[in-house]
Parts: sequence; structure tokens; C-alpha cells
Amino acid sequence: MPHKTFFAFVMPSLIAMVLFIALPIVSVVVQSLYVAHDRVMVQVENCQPFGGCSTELRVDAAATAELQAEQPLGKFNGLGTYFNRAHLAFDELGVILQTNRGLGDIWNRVLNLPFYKGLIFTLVYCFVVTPLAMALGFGIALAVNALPKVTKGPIIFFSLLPMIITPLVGSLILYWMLSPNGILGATIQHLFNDPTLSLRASPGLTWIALLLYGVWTNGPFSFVVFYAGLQTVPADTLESAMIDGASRWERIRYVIVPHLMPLATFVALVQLMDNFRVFEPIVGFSAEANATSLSWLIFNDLSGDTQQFGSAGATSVLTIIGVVILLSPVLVRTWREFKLKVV
Amino acid sequence: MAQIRLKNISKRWNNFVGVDNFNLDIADREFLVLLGPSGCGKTTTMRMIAGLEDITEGEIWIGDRMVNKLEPKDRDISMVFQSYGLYPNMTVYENIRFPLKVRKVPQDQHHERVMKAAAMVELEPFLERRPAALSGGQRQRVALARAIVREPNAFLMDEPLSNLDAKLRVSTRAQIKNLHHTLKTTTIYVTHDQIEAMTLADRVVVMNKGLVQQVGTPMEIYDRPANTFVAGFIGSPAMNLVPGSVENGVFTAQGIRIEGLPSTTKGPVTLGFRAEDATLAQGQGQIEAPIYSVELLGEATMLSMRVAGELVSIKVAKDYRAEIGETAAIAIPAAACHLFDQSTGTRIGA
Repeated sequence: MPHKTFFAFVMPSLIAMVLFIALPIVSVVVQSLYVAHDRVMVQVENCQPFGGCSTELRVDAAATAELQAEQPLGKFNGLGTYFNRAHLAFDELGVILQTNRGLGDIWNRVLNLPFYKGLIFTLVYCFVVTPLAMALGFGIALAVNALPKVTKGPIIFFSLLPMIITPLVGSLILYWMLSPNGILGATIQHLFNDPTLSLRASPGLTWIALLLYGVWTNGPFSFVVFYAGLQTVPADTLESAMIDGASRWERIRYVIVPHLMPLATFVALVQLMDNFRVFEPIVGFSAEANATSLSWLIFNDLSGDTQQFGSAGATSVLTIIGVVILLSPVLVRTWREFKLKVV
Repeated sequence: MAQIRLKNISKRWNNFVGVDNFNLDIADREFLVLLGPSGCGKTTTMRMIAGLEDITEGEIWIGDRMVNKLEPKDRDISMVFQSYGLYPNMTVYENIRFPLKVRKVPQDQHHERVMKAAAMVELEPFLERRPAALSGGQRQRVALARAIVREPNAFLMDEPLSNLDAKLRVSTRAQIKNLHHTLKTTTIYVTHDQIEAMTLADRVVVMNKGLVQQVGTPMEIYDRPANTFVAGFIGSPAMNLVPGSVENGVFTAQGIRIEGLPSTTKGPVTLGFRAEDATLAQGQGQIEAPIYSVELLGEATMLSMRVAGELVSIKVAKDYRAEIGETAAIAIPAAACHLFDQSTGTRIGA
């Protein structure tokens, strides 16, 4: 294909990628180096007819607005935002590591640092939900594949429901079910004989609920992909294995799993990226007190009256770095396989 | 080693009959070929023996066990597939070893048995390769070694040469023949290639539309086809079949007259004769017709002529040359002729 034709084909994609990916990332990086301007204060003498005069500090709204207009990005802060308490908090970490009463104490104090609290939950969510959701999806795919044709349609539809339901709605439903008055919450209280046990009060229960919700909602995607993959398993190889003496489990282990490995890598990649930006269940479960995520931190910075663009930018940049680190092993492996195939 | 017995087996999918009332005894150590066109039921029959397809009715016996309800792995058979059915993630060595591994054969026997099977199909140099790095012929040899390594009661081979090119097909066919001679294991082989059937089989079962047309040795089937389907399917070129009528031992049709046939038959028949049984007549022949085409085969020359509306082939000497449209006289000995009932297609006479 001539270079000109090639560029004509890829140019729309390139332009879209620059406009909607590269430029926003650059803007976020730039924004993360700035913080909001300090408000301009003025000293004002306030005299009362009978009380004499006093001086007080007041915000000079006009001067603050003027400063904001002159430097709309805010005040240059360099990497200060990255290192402050709300983000990497190196100083606070140093103090924690120097003065602590053991690993439990370190854990509890690190969880009080907002960025680490969000990061830890995000990572736990990624590394627990991704493999479990993949295993669940694979299990459902195997089961559905073994069903008679007549029952496949309804079962596939039923299995896809968690993916069809909006995450916020799905998490809200589960939250209500797990609340003390809900069917699951009341059952748990009854089972543990603890009337005070509630999702809102227990960080452990909150984490478990969020992780279970994650597995439930992520399972269908794995199911759909693995079910499609199962249709491509060579029948001859499966039948060979049957005749060779392989049990059902051995056929899965030696024929199906190796055949689906490239697909599993793809699913893992997509789900890791998806789970790294976990957000909706935290809002749906009102779980902010016990669990936050990096995406939730960004949302928190940008919501409310004082929008902290610099802080949100810094968290976003750290999230991007996290995604790159997280996906690098898979990307390196895919690149190596690609190079091997080319050779 | 085992005898295999098929008793009244049938396979139906709703109204469609795949195999109808198949009866056969396959002797211990026999090489049996199921031969027929696509969709005739030969592969279905083999898959029923393997346990990969449920049978609708009938009984399958392997040795002294009825295996109808047994899982494929419990029937003690090995199968070689057309598309090899290898495990792409395993090396050749692991592929051959796989049946021993999953059947929990003692570990200390694995290496010796794998090496022995690999040696039988000359695969030793390729043991560390994966199937993707092998040619089609080598892959099929891996499949053969994997079948051999277990020393099963019977081998089932489902068109194992169909994916190979012509040259490889000949050498692999010879290898299969030699393996059977060495191992003497009962073998059922499915093919639509009559040359494979003729060269490999102790007995051939010709099938069509789910029904057995004829069972016999290759020469029986070639020399005495039971009906026009078998006559037309076996042989290259297929037997010439000309519709006409016979009376007082004389067959006549447009452009053909053959005397000296059995006088017991009378009325409309189909006459069959093979291309190699006809010769160029020195004087007047049984057929005199213009040549339709001349094909040089190397070892012979093939003439085609249109007789009674049918195109018939005549195999003549390799140095024979003639122009298309020239009239040729062909002699057909009465002893080389076969008569078939025109309505049913079945053979007339012994």
C-alpha cells in the first residue's frame, strides 16, 4: 500500500487519538503542576462610632479574580502536589516508617493517607476481581457450552444480566440488599448473631461486598469472550483427547485452556484496565468511609464547591503511571510473542 | 487385539438416516476399509465404534464386551483423525506420551514406549518440535505414533491421508500398510479414495446413503461389483455402464453389440465393462464410434467414445495415437462383461 494511501486511512484515527487522548493527557500533566491561587488578602481598618477602630484581614475578591484571570492555570507548584499529604505523602510515610508499633499500625496509618487508601483498594480490587471474574466467566462458559441448544438462549441472556444492568444501579440494588434492613444484611446479622453488623460499619464487610459485586458484574464479559472462544476449540483435538483417555477436567486442562490462553490474556488486559478505574460501586455502596479508589479520589477532587484541578490532575497522572506499570508485563509478553511470530 | 462385531447398528437424526442396519464381523488383526462418497455414513459408523456418536439402535462388540454404553476412553481403541487432532501446545514427544500420561501408565515405561512408537514412524529427529513446526506428513505420523503408543485393541483411522499432498499420501500409505503388518492390530480405515481402499484393505465395505452396498476383498469388489453403484465407484476410470437390452445372449444398444452373454437373461439391462478389458479391434469390433477425446496417461492412452448416450472409456496402448472424430473399432470380450438389472442396479448372475 502506498504511504499516501496508508496515511489517508490512519489519519482520522491519528487525529482523534491526538485530540481525545494525547492532548487531554498533556493538559492533565500541566494542570497537575499548578494549584489554585491563594486568595488575595487585604488589611482593612474598621472603625465603629463608639467602639474605636480595629484592623481585620479580608479577601480582596476583585484582586483574586484579577489574579485568576491573569494566570488561569493557578499558581505553579511543580511536583509539590505529587508529594503532598493527599498524594504520595513521602514525609508522612517517612514518619510512619520511623515511628510505628508494628505492621498493623503501619497498615492503619497508611490507610489514613487518602492516596494510599485509594491505591490499596484499587489494587486489591484489580487482583482479586480480575482472576475470580475470569474463572467465573470461564466456568459459566463451560457450563453453557455443555447445555442443550434449546436452553442455551435463556441461560446466556440470564448470565449477561449483570453486564446489562448499569453498574450504579446494580451496586445500589446490592447495597440495599446488604443494608441491615435488606434481605442479605438481615441474614448476615442473623447468621453471625450480631445486630450491629452492617456494611456501613464494617470495613471488612464493605470490601467483601465490593469485591463480590466486582466479580458478579465482571463475570459476564469473561463469559461472553470465553464462550465465543470455546466455539473455536478444534473438535478433532477434543475427541482425540477423549479417546486418548483424558477425563473432562484433563480435556479442559490440556486442550481447552491452552487453546484459550491468547484470549485469556486479552480478557485479563481488558479487565485489569477496567477494574483499575473502579468507581461506581464505591458511590453506589456509599462506601467512601471504608473504601475509596483512585478514580473516586479524582471525582472527589473535582466535585463540590472547591474544585481542585491540580490535585485531580496529579491523581490522574499517578493513575496513568499505575495502569502502565500494571499492564507492562502483559504488553511485554504480547510484544515478544508478536516478534516471535514475525521472525 | 480384538474382533469387532457390529450388530444391526443404525444412526438416525430425526427423519434423516445416517447409517441403516449395519451388520459386520471384523476379524481380529483384519484391515477393514469403509469406502464410499461423502455423506454415505462411513465416518458415522466409525464414530459410533469409537463412542464419539451415540447409536440409535443395535450393538457394538469389541472383543467380548458390548461397548454401546462405554465412554470412548474405555473402549481401548485409538483413533487417527483427518486433521491430525494433535495438541498444539505440546511437543511431539509430549503428544505421543499424552495417552500414557492420562491413563496413568507407570512413569518408568513412558520414555521407552514413546521412543519405540516414534521410531516406528521415523519421528526421532522431531521429538522436541511442536506440531506447528512440522509438515502435514510429519503431523500425521505423530498422530499415528500417538495411536500406536498405547498398544490398543483396535485402530480407527478417519481419512488420515486426505490432508496430504499426492506424494506424501503414497509414502504415508505405505507406512500405514507396514505398521499394520508389524503390529497386526485390528484396523478400521475410512476413506473415499478407492486406491487407498484397494491398496490397504484385507476387506472393503462399500457404502452409499447409509447402506452397505458390498463387503468383500478388494479384488472381489473390483472383479464382481454387486451393483452399478459399486461398479461405478471402484476403479479408475470407473466401470463403463451402458443401458441397453439383452436377448438370446446378445446385448444391443445404439453403437454397441456384444454376443456370447448368458442367455438366461432377457430384457432391459445395464452392461458394464472396464476400460482395461476393452481392446482395439483388428477388424469389426463390438463398438464402432467416433473418438470423443484422447488422453495420454503415460503408461497408457485413454480413449473416450459416446455409446448409447453414455461416455465410455477405453484403455489402449501408450503409443496409440488418433484424432478426435476418427472412428475406432473396439473389441470387448463377453467374459469381461457384467450385467446389471436396469431398474434395481443389482448384478445379474454370479
